[in-house]
Amino acid sequence: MKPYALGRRGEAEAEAYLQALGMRTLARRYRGGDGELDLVMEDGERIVFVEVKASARGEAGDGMCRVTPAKQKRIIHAASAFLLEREWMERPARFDVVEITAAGLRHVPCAFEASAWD
Amino acid sequence: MLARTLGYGLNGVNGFEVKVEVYLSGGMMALEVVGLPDASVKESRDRVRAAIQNSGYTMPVGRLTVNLAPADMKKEGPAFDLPIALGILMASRQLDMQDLTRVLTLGELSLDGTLHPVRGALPVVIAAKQQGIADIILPQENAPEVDCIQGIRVYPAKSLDAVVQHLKGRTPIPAQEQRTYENFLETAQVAMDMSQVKGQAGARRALEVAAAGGHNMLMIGVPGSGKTMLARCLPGILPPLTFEEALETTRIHSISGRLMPGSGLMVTRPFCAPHHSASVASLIGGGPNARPGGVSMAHNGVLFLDELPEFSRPALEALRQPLEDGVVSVTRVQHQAQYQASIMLVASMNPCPCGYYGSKTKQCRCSAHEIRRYLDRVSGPLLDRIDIQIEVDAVPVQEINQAAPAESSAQVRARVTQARKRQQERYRKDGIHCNAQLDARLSKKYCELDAASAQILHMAVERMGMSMRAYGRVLKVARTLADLRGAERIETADVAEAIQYRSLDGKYWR
Repeated sequence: MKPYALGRRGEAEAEAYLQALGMRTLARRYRGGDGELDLVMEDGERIVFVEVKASARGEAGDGMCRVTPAKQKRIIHAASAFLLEREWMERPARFDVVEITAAGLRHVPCAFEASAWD
Repeated sequence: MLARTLGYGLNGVNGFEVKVEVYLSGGMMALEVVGLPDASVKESRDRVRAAIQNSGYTMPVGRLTVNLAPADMKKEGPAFDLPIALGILMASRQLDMQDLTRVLTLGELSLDGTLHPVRGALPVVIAAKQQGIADIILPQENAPEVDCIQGIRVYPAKSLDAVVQHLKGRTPIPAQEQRTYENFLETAQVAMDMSQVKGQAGARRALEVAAAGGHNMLMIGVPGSGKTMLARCLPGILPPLTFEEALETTRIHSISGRLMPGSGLMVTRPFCAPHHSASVASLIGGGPNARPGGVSMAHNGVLFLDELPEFSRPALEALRQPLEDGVVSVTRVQHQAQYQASIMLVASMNPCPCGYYGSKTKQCRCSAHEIRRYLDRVSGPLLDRIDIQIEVDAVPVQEINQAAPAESSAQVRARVTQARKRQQERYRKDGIHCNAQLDARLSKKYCELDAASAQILHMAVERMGMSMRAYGRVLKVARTLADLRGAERIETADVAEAIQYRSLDGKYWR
């Protein structure tokens, strides 16, 4: 399978998983603020920004490792743009990662934070 | 949601109040610490996050801002972990409180939520008590350190969860029993007892006199004559620390982080023996955070300088000011602190580079010039501050094997304590507490000589070429000798003995 298709399928799989947890989809593949958000979900009052990492092979944790600090920074920028656009700056928001590997699907809530880097 | 807790920071030996404010707002999940935190306080973010999660609580989703007020004082150390963690739990309603500023909380969190002891608990608790804070929650290892303070309730906690359960009232931590000072004195112990010193009658006597009057002392003698051993006996024959003195000494040790974990108030006088390679900063205090040095670690005790001429000249000269004032100001760009340094200086040295000048048993190999150079490394102004100078000779083998047990430290201490009491009584209105502190005016008032004694002293001045300053020293030591006898008047014998403690002036430094 081509990487692009694999990514799309992973995102669909992740979305279905999160919806099963009771979340509502707000946006898919949102682009803005120099970055991209794979999925934006709503968990009750909270906004959940989800980065999906899918690969055909790999062990558990491989996907997580690919969300590097640089990648996190781009996600945070995109998330700010999203919240600004909808005027939701006051809503609590978190960042999750969903990885899909040969070992299966793994959901990591609060995978990283938007604290200043130092 | 805003929550407030109370922590304390350290500035020198003084604690200062730090209000910890935690604000949980909407926005992207983040935890920021503001209010001039140093690196170790910033790192508390990661410890707090892990500790909260591993204690069965959750990190709230949203933006957490932690403010340490006052924001213009530099905060250092991990002791803010506990108040920050509690503030987060309060702000996120996991602990139903909003204001915890009447309870001081201190403690470093480990990743699993247990509490680690912190540096400087004693000065912090003293400061908090002065500000009217009566309830204190701290790591259980720090609890013994503060069990000497009356009028507060100390709750020794094992972990973050234990603190939360305590605050919720589910499993209250029993307040620790505070001890009175008398309890502590029973635990005092001394490294070296006078009964272990064989022979050396003259040196023993000089040691007793030095202890009785608080006089600084210099011992000159061949290698192996027991100078170090004698010096180590000194803390044991000094009167026991008073409660105030014990507090002062313990807080200096507490902030330097050199208190043994679990040890309480220091009741034994400190004995500090820095190696002769010591730098000025290590002796006087310094470093970027203006930490206390050797003179302050020896506060209310003994600073022992072995091999005096081997110390660097700047280090020795820097000692002059604290010897005079009993306090040092350490100033660095970021920090400024004042540390007490009221010490008895005991120094020892060999009479010459080879060590055997003046020995009865071995020939000295040094030239007159070499000896001169060696002795001159000790400056006159420093020598001037040393009231008692004695020669310590090697003990003959027969004396070492003699079975007769020598007097114990306790017996000597009884006499010393009596003599000190007399002095405190006498100087109550003069703002000093021992003979060593007499200045020219006061010694004129308190060290009156009768005609015969005065004549002996004048003769000594003429014969030995004694300086006026040395003359003053003799008077002070004679005063101490009279106090040791329990007499109000100085007698001829006192003066004669006091002169002996200056005789090295003429022999070595002419």
